[in-house]
Amino acid sequence: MTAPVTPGGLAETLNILLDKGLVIDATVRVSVIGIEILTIEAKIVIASVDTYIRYLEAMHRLDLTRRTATTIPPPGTQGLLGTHGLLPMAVPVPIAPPNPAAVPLENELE
Amino acid sequence: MTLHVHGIVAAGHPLPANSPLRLVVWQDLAAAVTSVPPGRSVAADSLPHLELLCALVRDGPVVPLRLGTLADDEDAVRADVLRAGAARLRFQLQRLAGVVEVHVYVRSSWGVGSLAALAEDTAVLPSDHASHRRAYLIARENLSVARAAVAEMDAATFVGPLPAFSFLDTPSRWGW
Repeated sequence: MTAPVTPGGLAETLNILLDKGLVIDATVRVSVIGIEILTIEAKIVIASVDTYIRYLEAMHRLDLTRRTATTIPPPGTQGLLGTHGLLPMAVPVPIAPPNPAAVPLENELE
Repeated sequence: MTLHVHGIVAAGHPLPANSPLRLVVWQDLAAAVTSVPPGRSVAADSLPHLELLCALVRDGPVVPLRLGTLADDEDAVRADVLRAGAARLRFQLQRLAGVVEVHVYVRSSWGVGSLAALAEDTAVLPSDHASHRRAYLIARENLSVARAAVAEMDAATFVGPLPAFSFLDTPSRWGW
C-alpha cells in the first residue's frame, strides 16, 4: 500500500497541478491568491518588457536610417512580367559590428 | 498568523510524522494548515504544498485545495472554509474514500490500456513534446498492481498516490 511518490516526477507533476484543486469561496478572512498572477504573469511581464525595449531599439535605428537617406529608390521589378511587388524595397538597417571584446572567439572556447 | 490551507480531511485523519502540518477541526471535518511567516512567498511553498498533500493522502481521502488558499486565523478556517463548505466537502471526501490519483507520463500512449481497465476514471492531462500524460483514479488496493503495470512499460513515469486533483469536477461517473 505504501507507494512513495516518484521524487523526480513531482516537479513535473506540480506544473500540471499548479492551478488545480478545490477553490474556496473567498471571504474577508479567506482568500485564494491567483497563482497565475504570482508566477506565470510575472514571467510574461518581464519577457514583454524585454521584447518591447528591443522593439523600440530596432525602431530607433530604422528611424535614424530613414532620416539620413536623401532619396528612397523606387521599387524594382520583382515578379513575373515585370510586376511590382506590394512591398517597397527593404530599407537597409546598419548593424553595429559585434564588439570583439564581448564575443569570445572560437579558439578561446576550446 | 496567516494560515496556508492545503487540504480538507476527516477530523480523525492521522498526521504524517515530523510534518509541519496541523489540523484545524470543525465537527467531522478538518483543514490541514501550515503557518505562513510574514513575508513568505506562497509561490515558494508550491512544491511543499504538493508534498504535504501527497503525504496526507496515504492515510485516507484528501480534498486538495488550490495552492495559495490563505486564511487569517483558525477561526476563519472553521467558519469560512469548513462550516461554509461543509456539504460540498463531505460529499467530496465520501466520493474519494478508497481511491487515489496516479499520473503516468509515457512517450507513447501505446500500452496504457491495462491501466485504463484498472481505473475508476481517467483524465487526459496536458502533454508536451516529450510525453503523453494521463491521470487515473485508482482504488487503493490496486495501487501496487498499477505501479507494476507501469514498471513494465517502456520509459514510463509513475507518480502517485496523489490527491484526486484531476477528478474534483467529474461526479457524473457515479451518477451523483
